[in-house]
Amino acid sequence: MTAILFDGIVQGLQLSLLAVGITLIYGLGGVLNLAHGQFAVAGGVAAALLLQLGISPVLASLGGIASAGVLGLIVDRTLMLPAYRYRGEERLLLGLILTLGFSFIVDGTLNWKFPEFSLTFRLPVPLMDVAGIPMRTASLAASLIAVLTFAGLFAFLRLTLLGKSIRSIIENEVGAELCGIDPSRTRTLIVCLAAMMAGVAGVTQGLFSSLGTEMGPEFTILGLLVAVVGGVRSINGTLAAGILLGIVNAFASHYVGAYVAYIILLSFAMATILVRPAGLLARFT
Amino acid sequence: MLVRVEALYAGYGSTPVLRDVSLEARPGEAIAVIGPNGAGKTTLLKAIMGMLRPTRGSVRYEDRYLTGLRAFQVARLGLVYVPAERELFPTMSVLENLQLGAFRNVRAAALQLGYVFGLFPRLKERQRQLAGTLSGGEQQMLAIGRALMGGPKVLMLDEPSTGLAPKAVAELYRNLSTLKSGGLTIIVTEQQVALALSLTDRAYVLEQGAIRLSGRSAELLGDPAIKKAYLGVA
Repeated sequence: MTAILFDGIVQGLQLSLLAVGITLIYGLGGVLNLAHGQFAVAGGVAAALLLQLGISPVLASLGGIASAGVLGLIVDRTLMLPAYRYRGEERLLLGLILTLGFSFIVDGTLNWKFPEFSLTFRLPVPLMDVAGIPMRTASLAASLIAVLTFAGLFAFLRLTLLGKSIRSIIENEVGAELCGIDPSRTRTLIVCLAAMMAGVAGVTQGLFSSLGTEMGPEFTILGLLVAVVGGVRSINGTLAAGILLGIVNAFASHYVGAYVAYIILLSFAMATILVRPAGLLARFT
Repeated sequence: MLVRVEALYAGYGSTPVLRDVSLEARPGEAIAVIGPNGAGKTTLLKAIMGMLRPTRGSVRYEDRYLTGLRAFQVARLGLVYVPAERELFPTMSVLENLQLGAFRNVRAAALQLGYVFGLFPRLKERQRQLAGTLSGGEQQMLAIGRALMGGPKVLMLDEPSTGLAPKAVAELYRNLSTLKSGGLTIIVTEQQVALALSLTDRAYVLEQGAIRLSGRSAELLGDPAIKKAYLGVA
């Protein structure tokens, strides 16, 4: 029971890493990124290539995460420009088409170039005892990395002026611009950051399980699901939704099997949206 | 001349709003733009600020043309705008709102913060409070305080008295008067014509998108046509 719960939290944190990135890009850029899971996979592939070059696992992971960030930067500065010329629904729609197209290109390229690929890290100690319960070291490490990433993100958004400027744009873009804050540069920064968080999710996937080139669409869909349940504009809500859905998924997988678990997960997400359409932690106004 | 608007035409989409509007402000001068609802006062300020592309004409500020600049670039040059909606960050604290006003100049921020708190002691008392929980008058103070944080040369305000209680309006205009005597150049649009005219040196009357009349505020205050149209005196 505790083991399943813990497993759910581990998975949930991974989902949150993806979903918070989607939320940030949506809140700041007005684009729902359908290629977000592909950022994660691209980061993982880059890490695996660096590993093959004989670079140490830690440096290879950091390199993979940085590569995801660079990919995000390039996408924001080139592919997304036509969408950024519009606002509101038009931008959202064009952004959906552009990112969906980009996700196909990434999936196709990776499957073609690295058909046999998988990223797996092996840790020296497979099991650890935590409060009498044997736990997989890999899961603990993956959770720790996710928690540290979130702590870093929250500290950045709460404590630094640059982070506050990001929050100000999410809250009121007109007001931010009147303060002299450049919305498009801030947006590039956030797409880059979100892509790096996806990269963290991709690399840590290789830590507690294995990452394959075909996993992009699954990551994207799960990330979107969590972001929508979390309210798509609230970072805290998205984090909470990720952990909640992770736990639901873990229990469903354990008791009824992985395929039915997806159905349960989707039904649960739909039920949540019906009950709380503005998101899990939405304020009543 | 600090600000010079020349033969400006602007509008939304294919709907023209401003026609051949010219206006100027010298350093330290306070200018009022008065006129009925829908005359184009907000459009004029937005066009100066670069939030709206003028179709013709030009805006010059300190001998440089602002054509093609975006609002955040204009704000960085020291021409700041407080819209009628205030556009605060409601779930951030008063202090954070002010800090963001000095986003471009962190080093000057501490000094400016002291100045803004001196001007609006109420903001200092409530610096930890969320901006969204302030009263209307306090929110207006915060909007002005945030605009002052970057150390601007020109402050533009769009109908600052909107939605304020009479007492808060009086306090607001006392503050604006203090800012004016401090040497700040002010451009203000207002429905409360008598207040705006008593604060400012010169005024423009904007009607249906064009300047109908301009002159010294004190003289306009005594003008029978203005009295009849805007001051509710026969």
